[in-house]
Amino acid sequence: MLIADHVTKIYQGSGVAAAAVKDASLTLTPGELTVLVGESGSGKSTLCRMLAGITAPGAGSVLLDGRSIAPPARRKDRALCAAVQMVLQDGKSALDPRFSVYRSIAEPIRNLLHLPKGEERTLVASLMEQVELPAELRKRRAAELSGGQQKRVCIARALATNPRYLIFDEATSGLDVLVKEKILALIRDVHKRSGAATLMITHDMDVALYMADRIAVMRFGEIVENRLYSGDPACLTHPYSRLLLEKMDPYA
Amino acid sequence: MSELVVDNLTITLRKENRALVSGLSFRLGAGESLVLLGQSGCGKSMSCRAVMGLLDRRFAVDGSITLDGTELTGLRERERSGIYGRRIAFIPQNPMTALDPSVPVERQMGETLSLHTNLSRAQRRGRLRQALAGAGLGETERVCASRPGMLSGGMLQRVLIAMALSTGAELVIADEPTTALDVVHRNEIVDTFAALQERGMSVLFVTHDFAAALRLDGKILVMRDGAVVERGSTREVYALPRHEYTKALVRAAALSKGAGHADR
Amino acid sequence: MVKRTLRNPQAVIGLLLILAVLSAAALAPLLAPHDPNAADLTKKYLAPCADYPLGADELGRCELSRLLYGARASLGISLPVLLILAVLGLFLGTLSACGGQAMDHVLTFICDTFIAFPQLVIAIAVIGILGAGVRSVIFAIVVAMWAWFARMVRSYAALEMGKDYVLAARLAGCGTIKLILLHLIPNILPQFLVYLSTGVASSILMVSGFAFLGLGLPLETAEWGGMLSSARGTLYSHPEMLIYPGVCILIAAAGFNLFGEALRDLLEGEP
Repeated sequence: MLIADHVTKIYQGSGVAAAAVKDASLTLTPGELTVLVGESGSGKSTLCRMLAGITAPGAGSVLLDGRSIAPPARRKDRALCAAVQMVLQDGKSALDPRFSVYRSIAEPIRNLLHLPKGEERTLVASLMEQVELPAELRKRRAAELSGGQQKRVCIARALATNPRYLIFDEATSGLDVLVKEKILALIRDVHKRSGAATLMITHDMDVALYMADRIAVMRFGEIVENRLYSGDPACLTHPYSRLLLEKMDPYA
Repeated sequence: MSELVVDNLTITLRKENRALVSGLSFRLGAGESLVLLGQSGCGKSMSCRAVMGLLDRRFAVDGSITLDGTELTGLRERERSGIYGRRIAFIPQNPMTALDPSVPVERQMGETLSLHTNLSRAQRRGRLRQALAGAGLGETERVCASRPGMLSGGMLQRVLIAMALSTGAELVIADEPTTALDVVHRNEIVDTFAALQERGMSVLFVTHDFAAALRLDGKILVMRDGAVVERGSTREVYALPRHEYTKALVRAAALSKGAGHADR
Repeated sequence: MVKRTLRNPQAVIGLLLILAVLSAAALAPLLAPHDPNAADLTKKYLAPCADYPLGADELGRCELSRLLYGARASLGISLPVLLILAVLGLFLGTLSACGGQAMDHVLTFICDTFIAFPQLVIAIAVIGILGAGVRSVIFAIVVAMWAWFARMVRSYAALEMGKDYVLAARLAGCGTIKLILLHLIPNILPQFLVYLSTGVASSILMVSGFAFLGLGLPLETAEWGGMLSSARGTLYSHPEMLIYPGVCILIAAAGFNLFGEALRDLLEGEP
């Protein structure tokens, strides 16, 4: 299990210290899809970066099966790097503009799996199939793809090492609403097939209600509610959660 | 009675002879709101830019766009300044790009006002503050003294809305005003536009966010590949979509309501 | 990309000028009608004729031959210098951007110190210490210009480091060296090449500047700046002696500058 244990992160900016994350705890369990909901500035991105092991917590610890994964653990431990993967918010800027789709997806394979060329090619092809990217896009560059396709490439990259922990930062932001639906379906499918622990960060409660096995709500750096989601929004009782639920309704 | 009439608007990309918008027609009266809804590439932003007269020579514009009978396509420079900025205000998707980052807000708003009206300095000051309050901005003094970089995206949008209010614009065109905002703040900004309607302004709203359209609660045109696939009152179209595409958009707009849970 | 380059008039002109100078340098032994150092006082200030297409200088040496060999001197020094500067700049610049804060502070401080001095002053100081000769000139120019290149690479690399794809590469297990070689350098290479092009122009001017001041290269070497210097005294009597080498310097520097700027404009247009 990947556990954030009472983590705190304070950022120093022009004389003012702002606590991005305050004493937050979150556990990611294999097979469970957790959605972390919060407005922008709630600290959810910072928390997920600590869970991914790319930001060090100021206080508290992030443990994977009991061992701390704070930097520079990822750089030193290839197995750790392969086990915990993250898909960044903006698909376009997360891809090297000079790399072809093939090369982008092959990168984690080359760095972390060291497969012979033939097996690498097979794996890339099967990943592209899994994320529903037509094989002929192999040689294209990021700029030539649509927003949805770029996001699929990023997802394929994250899946390459068959991670046990998969984190999505605002998986559908900037995507058209029909594309969003498809990407969410893809994420759900990927989650089921891999049995991984999946974490999705979003500001949209609708996404949480649609996708989650577990919903955690974050506000001003703190996790105010964390529940298993049965399908009934009424199970969320914290006033802020209820506020977010209300805001979903355009007639509110 | 200020009415925007778009009649059979067709926009073609000259080089490829490809129609980006075909046969768009609608009427927007004073105090009414109209949402152009669709995904990227459907032509809604292009149509907006055509109304704003912002299309360059790469595009061929056919059909007519009239504001109170005045034809907007093919206006000359001098005539343009009387209309754009004064009678028609534009709120772009990224408000930061519409303002000079180095000049305090009050001065920029004041400039626009002095360009389009004959008010004295004191009168301008008063009107600006009224407008800012009307746009839902609380600390008017602080906002006036700030530079655009110090204000959030949402606040900058309200500044632009205030500028529209202050010049007494008849028509406000907003390009994806909710896209950059959290769902939580969406309703508030839409309410600000609704408040403009109550003052008699027409609101033309371009978005892919059905929920924002519903909140605005006016008329809607659903666009796809440059053409209108469905039109009507937003509530009715949402409740009873007829076109397949509209049905898909309705379902995708509130996934948890429509489809329930992805698993079930 | 190549096609677009050929359609850009500035790029084409720049390229042609560069080619002209390069061919002069490369083919000098074939093209030059005479030995550039063969003095013959009977031919002093000879007017242009079939045998001496541009006439002769104050020592009767063939002007055209001297100009052609002068290209060798200018480019023969500038191009190796630029190669060294490129490698040094890329190495130190990326090291500064990726090697941690302490490394960054130290390198930036050193760069800033060098940059505080005018390039010519540094170069002259180095030549003064090392004495004359081609190697001193090369060393002097490298010492004078390295900091600018390192800083330029550092700022572009730092910019790229802030971008999402670098974070994504790290998530995909990319180590620092791979990051620099596979991601950073390829992405800053276009702008860097532009800077390099204009650096060639500066370097040519510097070499000519040394020769003009009588530093660095052995006296009487066929070199444009040196030829300019020798022709100073005859501005009114034989102005062409000033104009010929001057125009050559102009063509070389302008060619690289024009091409470099056009390259930048072309690359900015890329998606």
